[in-house]
Amino acid sequence: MSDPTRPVPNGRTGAGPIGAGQPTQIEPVEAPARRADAKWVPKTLGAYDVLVVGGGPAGLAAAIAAHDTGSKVGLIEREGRLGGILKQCVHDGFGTIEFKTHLTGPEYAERFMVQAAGRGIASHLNTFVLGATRAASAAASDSGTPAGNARDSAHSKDGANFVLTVENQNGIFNIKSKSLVLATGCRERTARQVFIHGTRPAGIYSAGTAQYLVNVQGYLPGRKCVILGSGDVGLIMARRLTLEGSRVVAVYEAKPEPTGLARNISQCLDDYGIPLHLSHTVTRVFGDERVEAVEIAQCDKAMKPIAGTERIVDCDCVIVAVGLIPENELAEALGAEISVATRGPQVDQTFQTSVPGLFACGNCVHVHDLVDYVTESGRVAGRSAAEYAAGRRSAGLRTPIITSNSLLYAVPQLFDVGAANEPFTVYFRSRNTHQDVVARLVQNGEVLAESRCAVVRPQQMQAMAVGTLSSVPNQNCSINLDLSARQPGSRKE
Amino acid sequence: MATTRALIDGTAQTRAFTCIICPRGCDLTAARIEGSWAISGNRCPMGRDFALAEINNPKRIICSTVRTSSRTIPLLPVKTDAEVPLEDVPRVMQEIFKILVDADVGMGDVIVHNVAGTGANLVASASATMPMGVVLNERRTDRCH
Repeated sequence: MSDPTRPVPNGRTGAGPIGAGQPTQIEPVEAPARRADAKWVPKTLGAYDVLVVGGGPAGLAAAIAAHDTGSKVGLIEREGRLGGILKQCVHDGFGTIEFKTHLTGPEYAERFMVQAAGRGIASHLNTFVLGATRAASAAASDSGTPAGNARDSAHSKDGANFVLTVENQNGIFNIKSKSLVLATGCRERTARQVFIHGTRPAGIYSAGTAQYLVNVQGYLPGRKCVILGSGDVGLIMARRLTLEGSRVVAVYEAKPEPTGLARNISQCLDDYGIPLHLSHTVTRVFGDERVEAVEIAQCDKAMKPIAGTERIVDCDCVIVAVGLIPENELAEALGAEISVATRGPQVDQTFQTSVPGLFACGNCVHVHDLVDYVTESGRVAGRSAAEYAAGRRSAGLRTPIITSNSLLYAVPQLFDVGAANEPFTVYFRSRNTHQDVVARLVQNGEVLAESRCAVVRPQQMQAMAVGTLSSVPNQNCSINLDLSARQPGSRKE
Repeated sequence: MATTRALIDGTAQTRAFTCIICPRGCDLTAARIEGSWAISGNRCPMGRDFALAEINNPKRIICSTVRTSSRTIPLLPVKTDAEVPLEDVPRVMQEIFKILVDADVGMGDVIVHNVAGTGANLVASASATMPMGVVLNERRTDRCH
């Protein structure tokens, strides 16, 4: 297509195939007005104190907590139902910390949906966020505010610091809010992201897609499945497919250790006699229209396939369960600092990101293995966002929390010195498996808090509840988190 | 003490389990000493009970889905309200495959009493029509052309 804004020269046919040779009379096309000041502005659909993006467990907890702190709350959900990924997690084991009982995913979600419904929280369903901007007045006020000043004047005239452009079946609209909570969850890593080569036949699914097909839509993705990756979703699907009548040939994991929880290896694979091959991966996929077989190879310690170890395994379906990545298009668009280790926005202990008034919680911050902690992070983010909207919380002075090499990552990455008297939780994953260790928050050689862990594993996120800090942290000095062997004879038991 | 000695002597018959009661996933060891089992590795009493159940009669909650008559929600999640023996899981699944429910089922409603003779009931683990509260943009199917 030619650019419609460019006037077509009169009397010329150009390369037009019709009527070539005849001098066609074409009137000059007036270029449409494209002045910046004539920009179309969508109608405003609503204005809230706290706007939550995502109606899964994190978003529901955030919305409920913000409402209970006295805010007018709006919730945006792109699907027609709330509950997020829990809708398709029909297995049990949810809520052991939150409710001290075993619930299925839908049961866990429904408990929070009942709470949200009872509070009359406004849910914009079937609504997709196209973009987000931070009001210029809000941005101008942080640059005008000296970094050391706790006074927060980030509220513009109508109080809206954020404008979200959303789309639903009625059109495109704006929704305004004083503070914004991102609860956008995570996405699955795809087969292409782990460099599986070969043809592209039907029958290759990510574990979450397979779970959606089996548990929500009622389709069986294959009769003879190979599962790549020992993440929890893959293990859960191995059992689910077996129950539904599919044969799961084996689960292959490139790493020398399984990435899923030990209890899932036991109850999903061992119960049904499904073999788990560690240090093995899928190197090629065969099949034209449909998967017919895969090539499996043994891997070295660097997860590289070892030449000469390849063998062919027949199957009609490959389920790829190779990890999850936080979903952060909105956080990035709003300029939040993203952590390299978690791939989610950096947050402080109140779950505020590097952008004042922008909060994030749940799996978009870091990938959790338990929904109970997702809910807890949502609750803290929702409460903090409500306090920010009410002008009771500022984007105060923050000092980084630096993790030692013994840890893969820790959340929060920042410590808001202004909120130092509030209890908080540090979530971390260790790099290796250790028994009987102590996690310590240290500043300038002084231990601020410590917690004993009987076992730490990379697969299992640790939650270190920090009550009152032993001293008020210095705002000009970073805090270190490290893991060390417990000293014999330590008084802490 | 007898346990320790038997373990050292190598006369104990031992079995290992991963506890599935909570996400900690303790590594349990059961050692058979003179007709009774001694459990170690558990960090709570539930772990001991789990290991003993694994030895005598392993049981599980079964979670699955049943078909519904609804067009918008083709499947409803279900679970057994009590643990059923692991060996009965295929029989319970065969029952589950045959079920078709209406879309007015609520969470916790019993769908099948005493499913496959296990003594456990099959209950809905979600409401077919979930509570939504104030919905500002529910898709109105009657307006779709």
